[in-house]
Amino acid sequence: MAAAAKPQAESHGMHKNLLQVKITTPDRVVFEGEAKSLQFPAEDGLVGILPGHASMITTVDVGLLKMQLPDGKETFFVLTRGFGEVRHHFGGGTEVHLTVDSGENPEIIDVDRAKRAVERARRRLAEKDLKIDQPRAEYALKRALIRLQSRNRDPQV
Amino acid sequence: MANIRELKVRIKSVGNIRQITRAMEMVATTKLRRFQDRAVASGPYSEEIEKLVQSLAASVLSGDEVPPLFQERKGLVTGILLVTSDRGLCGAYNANIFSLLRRVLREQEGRDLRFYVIGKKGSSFVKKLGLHLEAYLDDPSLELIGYRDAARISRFLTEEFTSGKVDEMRVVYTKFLSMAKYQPTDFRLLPLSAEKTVSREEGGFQSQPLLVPSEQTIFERLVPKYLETRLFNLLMESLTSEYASRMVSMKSATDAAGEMQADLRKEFNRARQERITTELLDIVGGAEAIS
Repeated sequence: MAAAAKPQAESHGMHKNLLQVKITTPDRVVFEGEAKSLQFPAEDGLVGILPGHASMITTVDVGLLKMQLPDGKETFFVLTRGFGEVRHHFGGGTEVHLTVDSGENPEIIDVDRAKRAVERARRRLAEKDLKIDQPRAEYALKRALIRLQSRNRDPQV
Repeated sequence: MANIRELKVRIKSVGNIRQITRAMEMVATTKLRRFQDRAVASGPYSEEIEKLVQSLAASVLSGDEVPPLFQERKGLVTGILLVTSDRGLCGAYNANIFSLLRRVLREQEGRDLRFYVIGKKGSSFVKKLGLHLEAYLDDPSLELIGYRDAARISRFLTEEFTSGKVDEMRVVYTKFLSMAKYQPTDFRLLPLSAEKTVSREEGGFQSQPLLVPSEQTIFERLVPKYLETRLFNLLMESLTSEYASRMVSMKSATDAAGEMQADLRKEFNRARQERITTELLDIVGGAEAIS
């Protein structure tokens, strides 16, 4: 877990060229730290954020978040639905808050579980039973597929 | 004197009770800590959601079209989510909820009430009063409820409201104020009231943020999450109150047992002393009679 325990920048003037990123889920804060840039899946495609981005609120879709850390390394998170907020402070830093249902580092993803989930969701969708909640099953399938694909570290999902 | 043996037995049994209540007190303390951790872990998420709601609510709710979850209805059906404990021995915890509930019943007179109950105590109370038990939510039990389960309950209750089954949804639970103070509370979950959602001061943004795809869409997604976090928080508050109450009542039971044991021991010693004195007198008297 890349829980870079940097103190949250109170004075935003300090890190003009970095993003202050925070990823929050109902269970815990999964990431809090700085990044050079990041890319996350919004409803209508990937959104790239660089320091200085305008303030924005958007919805986050299931997908892979790619983040470039200050040391140049890349890190990934599998995100499920939620909200993304960019706060641009004039003459100062840019905060990115992602508030999502879940955010997982691909390394901790249980591949077998994801595979089972894919099968389960496909079976459900194939049943053509009117009782099933179609959007929910589709959402489950999408989540499981992304989790599997995240293992390949391919952001083009 | 048979009294002495009787006292001995009582001292022992009070001692046993004391041991049990002390163990229960310690269990309650440990569990309480665990529940508090769980509530704290979801704190940042609730805060983020709340912040988002507040930054959007003002402009969305001032629009012409009131979102469905904010619409007041004329209907007469009230759903009540009643949060109680599964087990007793937690002081006046459940009794306090029930006395509040009785007041709510008087206030809601004339309306059609449907009960959604968490906790065994609540379900037997509702049945005893012959009220309409719509759903008994016991899977999982309150102690094991995590965020996801709370979210499921929230979706269920919201669905009951949006489908028109109930015209408002209230919650009767126990608000946690401090380790020594918990207050049974009745509040309306749905429809949401616009005034309470919109906060007075809203700052932070230096300029109006871009809203993608649109303000309405984001808000419509946001509101269910907001309800989930509120529901989870109030369930956790109830649980914390229950265990705080249990801990306190077990502590006072332990103290009372300790006091009782001390009193009994005093009585026992006095009785024993008395017996020795009488025996001595007997012996001395006997010896005197012989000489």
